[in-house]
Amino acid sequence: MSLLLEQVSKAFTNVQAVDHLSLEVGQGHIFGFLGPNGAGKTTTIRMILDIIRPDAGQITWNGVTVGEVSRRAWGYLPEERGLYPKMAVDEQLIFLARLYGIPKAQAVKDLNEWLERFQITENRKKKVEELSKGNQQKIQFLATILHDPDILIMDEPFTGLDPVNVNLLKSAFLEMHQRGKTIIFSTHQMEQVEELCEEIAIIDKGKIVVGGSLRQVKRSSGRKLLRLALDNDPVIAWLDQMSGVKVTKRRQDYVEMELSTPVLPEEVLQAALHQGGSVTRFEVVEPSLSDIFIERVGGITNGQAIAAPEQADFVQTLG
Amino acid sequence: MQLLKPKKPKQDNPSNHSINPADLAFTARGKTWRNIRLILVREYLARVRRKIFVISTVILVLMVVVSSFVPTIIQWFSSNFQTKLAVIVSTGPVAGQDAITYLNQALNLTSTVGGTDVSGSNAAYKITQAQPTEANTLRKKVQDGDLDTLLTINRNQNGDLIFDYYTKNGMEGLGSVRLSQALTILALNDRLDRSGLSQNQIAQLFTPPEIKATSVSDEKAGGKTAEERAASYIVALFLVIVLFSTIYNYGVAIAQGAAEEKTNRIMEIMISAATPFQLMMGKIIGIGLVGFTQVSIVASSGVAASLLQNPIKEALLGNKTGGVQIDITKISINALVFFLIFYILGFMLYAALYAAVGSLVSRQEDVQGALTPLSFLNIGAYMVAVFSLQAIDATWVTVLSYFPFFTPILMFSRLVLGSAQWWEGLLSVIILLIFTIIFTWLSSRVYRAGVLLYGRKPTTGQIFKLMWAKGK
Repeated sequence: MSLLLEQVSKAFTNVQAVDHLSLEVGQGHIFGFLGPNGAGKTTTIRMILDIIRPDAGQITWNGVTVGEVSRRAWGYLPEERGLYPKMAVDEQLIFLARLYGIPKAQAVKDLNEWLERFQITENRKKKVEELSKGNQQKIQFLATILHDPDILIMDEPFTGLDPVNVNLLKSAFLEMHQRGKTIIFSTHQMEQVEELCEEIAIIDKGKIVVGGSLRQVKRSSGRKLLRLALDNDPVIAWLDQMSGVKVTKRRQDYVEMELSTPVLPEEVLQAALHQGGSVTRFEVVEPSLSDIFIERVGGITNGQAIAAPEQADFVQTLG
Repeated sequence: MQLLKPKKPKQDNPSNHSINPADLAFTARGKTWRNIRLILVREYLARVRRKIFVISTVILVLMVVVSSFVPTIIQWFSSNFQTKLAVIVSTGPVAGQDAITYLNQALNLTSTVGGTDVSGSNAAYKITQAQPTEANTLRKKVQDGDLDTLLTINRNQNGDLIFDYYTKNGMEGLGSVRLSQALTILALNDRLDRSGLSQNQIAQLFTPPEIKATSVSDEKAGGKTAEERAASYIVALFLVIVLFSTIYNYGVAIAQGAAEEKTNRIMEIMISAATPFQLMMGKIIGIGLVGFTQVSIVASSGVAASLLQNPIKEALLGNKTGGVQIDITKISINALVFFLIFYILGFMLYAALYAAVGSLVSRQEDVQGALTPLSFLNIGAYMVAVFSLQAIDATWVTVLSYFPFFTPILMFSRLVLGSAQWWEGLLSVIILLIFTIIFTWLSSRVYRAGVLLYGRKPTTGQIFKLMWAKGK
């Protein structure tokens, strides 16, 4: 029971957008799809939605080719948001739900509930263009879920949202998760991924760089990081002289270091106490996703521009 | 990956191995019509509710109604305008007849044969007899504009009639032409009378000859009267204009609609909910119906207004003859059926192309530019049609009337004007239908490729490549 991509490839005129990409998203999971601009995220998403078809490989949902899966199963929030600006909110959402195959009465009923939940009932007769940005985002989200899809696919859902709306969207995410929906979303924002995702994949140049459960990915780096903070010595300059210790970050609130195998965290703690420091923080952490992302993707692109600017070329957009 | 199991078991998974492929195909077809219907209703309502649609329809209705009243109004005005004519007859009876009575008949009868005498307040000329002694007073009146014309009838030394015509404006205008004709005939009558011909002989001489004109197209027209042919010509011209302007206006609307959905980025959602073919067909049919609605409203108010003309003329003028007569009841049912077929197919053919072009443009501002070649084709068809009405039997018209882009307008004109047989119409409809299907299919491929393209305008080669790319 899962969404399965097997050896999927797609090329455009001069770009190999997706290159033998395989991944699996378990039903009911939240899956984070990461990658720099132009990595092939949108192309992959469009192929999952059967908007474009792969040159090679296949994509199945519970064993059925996605092209044959009812449209009703999919909810899509595109990266570029869009609705009919001059159409009333309720008419627009009911129209889209009916297009996905929901009977009108059902669509009206569900819509009333959702508008209530999002506290935008008073806006139901307004034209979309008359709404505030935040309310437009809510409507856009409703357009994705009103037909009660099994799989939600969201391209950069958090981009351009203020913190209030980010929280609203997050709670909606978790509710969808509670209802057993499969959620796939692409993003640049690592905090959201660490907070929400059970599984992730980082892709670059159409290939998976690293993938699996969030823990696996974090462990896969094989690194252990230590964070130390001393109340009387925020800089902890002597760490630089200690062998087997490499300081990776010096922040106001702590210093983060990477330890080479023979050095144990306890030794660092002892050294700190020995130096007469008053320890306010001492923890062993896994590298952040952001670190892994930069390490993996940055390492591959190796200082080159991370990606071609999007939409410079029309085929690029498809990538 | 085993962290979280779905909290709620899924009840009805719509996709399932047990689905029979035949059922799938059936539901897909059912969904195609359901989606096309939903999309066309949306397109239709979104447009007919716009203020611009309501306003433009009202303006068009007003224009049609007013123009169908124009002939009646002109007639009414001219009937209310009387030329005041004072006549001084110094000759006594001319050709055994009172000159005043003659002039009254010659100038105020609407038709020479069986016309009604309108010598009352509706008469074109108000004729008064005056005495030679009044001549100077009457001249003064003409100068002051109280009298239009002073006419003095006299004889010269040879005994011929001479007419002294005193007016402010000289012998110009339609009224004077009629007067001078009447006077010419009066002078001829007088000469013949003096040369000894009897009144009967004179009357015989002036009986108009019977002229019967038959043209080749008259014969082909299957015995249509000149009046019917005139009506057909006007109907053909009118429908050509309707066809051309609908295709042009609503074709552009389709292209703009497609580009608009790309600009709004709603396309991305639409394309995941429906297929490009459904989107295109829904748009074409929906916008086509908007055009059809407008044409129907305007046409029915036009028909109603022109049917009202005869009762109105009767009420205003006491008679319904005269002026421009277009009897719309003369249009045959066949012509209307053909019009409907050509209207629908012609619109579909052009609309498919407009949709394809619109789908390739990513910004609204670029739509007009991209449409230029299509506009040329459309305007070309219109020009050809207007020229062809003058030479409907020419070979080039016959040949071009089978060219699908010209068929709706040209073949229709030929049929209405009786230059084509019914089977020619049928044949052209079949050719047009085949082309419409082919072009709709090709356009839906372009549409499919075009709707997701943004940015730089693709080259023809790229479009062609994308048309054959795999996809739904």
